[in-house]
Amino acid sequence: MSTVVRSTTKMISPFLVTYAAYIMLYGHLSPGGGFQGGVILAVAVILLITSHGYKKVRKRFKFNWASLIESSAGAMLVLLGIAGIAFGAFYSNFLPMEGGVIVPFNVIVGLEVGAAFTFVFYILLRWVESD
Amino acid sequence: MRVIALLLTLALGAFLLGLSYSPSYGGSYTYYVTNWGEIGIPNLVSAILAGWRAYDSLGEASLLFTAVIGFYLLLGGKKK
Repeated sequence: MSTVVRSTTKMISPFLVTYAAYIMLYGHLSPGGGFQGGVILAVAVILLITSHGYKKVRKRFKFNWASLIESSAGAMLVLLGIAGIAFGAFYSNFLPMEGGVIVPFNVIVGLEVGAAFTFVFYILLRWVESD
Repeated sequence: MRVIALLLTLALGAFLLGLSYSPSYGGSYTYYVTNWGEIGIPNLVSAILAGWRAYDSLGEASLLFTAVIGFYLLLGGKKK
């Protein structure tokens, strides 16, 4: 795409990652949460792909990282619930801070959702470009 | 054909307008509104979604995970 689009997306996408981190970490205090933060996290990568092309972005954001983050976040989500069994119930609120287990829960769900959308976009692009 | 579609749309609209939209009291609604202090966070939506219904969010995440596995199985292999 043109120079304007490329430099604008380069400038915007770090702030999108920061905004996604804010939405995930403060999801228990203000509107937001894991799913919304994860979608914004995925949009930061998808913007770079649409402006710079898949071949350039693939060198920095590896395809295998997305699948690794996706599967490990899914496993950690279940482990967080199982860790609650030691304190009484599945997903019991055992951390002694404000919000307790909700903060790591939001962060893990955000990582999972962001990695999932990036992964699906990568797979569709690989399919389209392999023709 | 167009007349039938118009009639069906009007019938659906009349049906939706005829429903009762007053909020129902009792049940889970009253429980959530009166007891949401026990989660300890100042956000009712997050208290319901990640506090009482974290199990639902786990199901949602596993749904997305299943969708990703389906994409990978269908389109992720070596191209012919």
